[in-house]
Amino acid sequence: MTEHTRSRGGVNVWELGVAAVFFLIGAYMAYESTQYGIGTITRIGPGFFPLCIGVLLMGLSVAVGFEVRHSLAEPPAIPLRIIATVGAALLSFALLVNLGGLVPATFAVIFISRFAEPGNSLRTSFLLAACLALIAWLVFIVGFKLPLKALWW
Amino acid sequence: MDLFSNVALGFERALSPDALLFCFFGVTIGTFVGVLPGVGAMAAVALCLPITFYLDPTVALIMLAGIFYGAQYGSSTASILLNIPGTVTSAVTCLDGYPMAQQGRAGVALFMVTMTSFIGGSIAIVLMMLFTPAVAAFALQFSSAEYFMIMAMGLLAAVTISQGSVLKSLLMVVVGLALGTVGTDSGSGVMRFTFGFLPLTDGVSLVAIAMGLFGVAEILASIGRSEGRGATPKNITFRSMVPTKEDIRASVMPTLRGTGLGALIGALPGSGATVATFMAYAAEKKVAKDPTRFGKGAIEGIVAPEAANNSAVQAAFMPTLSLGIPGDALMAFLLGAMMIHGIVPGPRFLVDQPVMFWGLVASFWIGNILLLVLNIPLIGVWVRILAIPYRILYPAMLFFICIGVFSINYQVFDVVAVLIFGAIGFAMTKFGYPPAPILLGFVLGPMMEEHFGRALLMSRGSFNIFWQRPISAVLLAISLGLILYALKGVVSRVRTGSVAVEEASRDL
Repeated sequence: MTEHTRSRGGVNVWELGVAAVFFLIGAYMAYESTQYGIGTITRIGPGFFPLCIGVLLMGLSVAVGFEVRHSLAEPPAIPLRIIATVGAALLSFALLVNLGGLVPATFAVIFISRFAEPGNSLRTSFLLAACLALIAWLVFIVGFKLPLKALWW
Repeated sequence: MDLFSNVALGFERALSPDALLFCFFGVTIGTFVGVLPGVGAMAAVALCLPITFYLDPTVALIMLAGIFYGAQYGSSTASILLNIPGTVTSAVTCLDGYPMAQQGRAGVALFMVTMTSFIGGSIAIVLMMLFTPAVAAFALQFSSAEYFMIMAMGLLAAVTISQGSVLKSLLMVVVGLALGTVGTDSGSGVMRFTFGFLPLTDGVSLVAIAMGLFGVAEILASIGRSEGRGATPKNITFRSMVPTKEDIRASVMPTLRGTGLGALIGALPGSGATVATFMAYAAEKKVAKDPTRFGKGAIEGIVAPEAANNSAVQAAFMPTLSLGIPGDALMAFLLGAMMIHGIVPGPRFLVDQPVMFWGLVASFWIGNILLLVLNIPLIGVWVRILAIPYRILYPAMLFFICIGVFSINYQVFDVVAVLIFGAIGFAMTKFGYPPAPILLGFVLGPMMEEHFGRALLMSRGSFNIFWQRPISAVLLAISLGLILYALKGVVSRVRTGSVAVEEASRDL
């Protein structure tokens, strides 16, 4: 177990950080739930169950923290380009679907998300986005009559 | 006998034109998403959910269920031809399926896998028809104490069976429970953890959580890693699909063993089809005269897991429909979908909605036969679908996720929530936190809270109720047993600290 010796003494800050986040969520839940009213044991209030969950979260996250303190896990290499593009694509849909209608929103989500990979051709992106926007209109608005606007008027 | 009239009733409903048509849609979509690696049945159900709001609930249920078992048929295709599992439930099929394809026996492998899937599914449906009414009748005696305990047991079982750190899985279950408390409390009307934010008053959207943690997170992890794909597999001719007598003889017993194992595991709360396939494969390796053949194209190594996953998926409907308790995250999602439709599965479901229940069961037969037709003569179509490159696929998937999530509540916030859960899901799997338990906890949490409160109300605040009622006591004992079973490993890992670098799987 050479790896084991190598990690001895080293503390994995990232893993502990993740466990700490769960601990804080638990602490917040436990605190906040007392505001809702714990009730009595016969008639539990709306705060009772969240309080239990908060305490459980705190306890478990401490245990997990101990378990992973020497872990060799590295923080993930965050693929910034991918996350930014996918994020922009989803947000553009969220923004456009009410303002612009389903067709522009569909076009945007597909056209933008294609930039996540380098080297995707713009022409194909345009065609793909246009085709799917048409399909979306036909299937969801014409076919299943979902109460969505196709375009902005 | 009562059973026959019920089955007849079911077939009458399932054979009506609308049910047939949507059963066909369901299994076709299921096969399609099953064939495509990286697109799970869950995404397809999420997408179809808003469409089914406009259908009769029975028909909607038939279609959604069809997607689930249809995906089991399709998923082995990519495993065999490309060595990439279509869904996690056929990851094991790669081990012997791909070597068979390399030996030029892909056609035989595909044919046998479809046949055993059909046999496994059919046997499990019979078992389901026989046992579900019995289980439901038994469950009618359940009070809130039993319901609470059986849900707790299911969650514990799911956690202890899972691979990787038990503690991290357990933590994720609790995170799921926590997410379930967000929104208006059904008992008191108090708004909990909404931060005064209007879209949260109805709680977090189940579809947004599922699509974020599984759909978007998977896409984030897969983009840019798609180079291996796009290799066009050769066309499969009918002639190449004919198995030899030897193949058939070697497959009979493994199919039956796989079916039995799958049905058993599928019916248990807390364990699903994925576990069943791994166990079926391990069992075949154990009983084989020459275990070295495995991994080199042994036909037993593909038929047993495929029989197991189909029978497990069918059997998993048993606890879901009769008790209202899902076996795994996939079933939890289907249960959530049913509740959005206003259908409350549970012991009363069979009594109150006989047409819906038996219609659904009858549709399983019809669906399985349709799948046989779809998969054997039309295998060429599915093989060609495999050639769609990921760079075309993922933008379309993102769009389908958007429309699926948005059209549940027509709430823009849900699309943003998908993005948030996608980023969280991506990060947490890297640190070894599995997302599947979150979904289970989220679906079961509100029910557990309600039953917990009711049990205590019944007992006037005494916790004795959980061990004084016999059924509840047995469930409690099993739960404690599960905890003890896991405790040894957990304690040693906590004391020394685990060094393993584990990336949690996004498996269900």
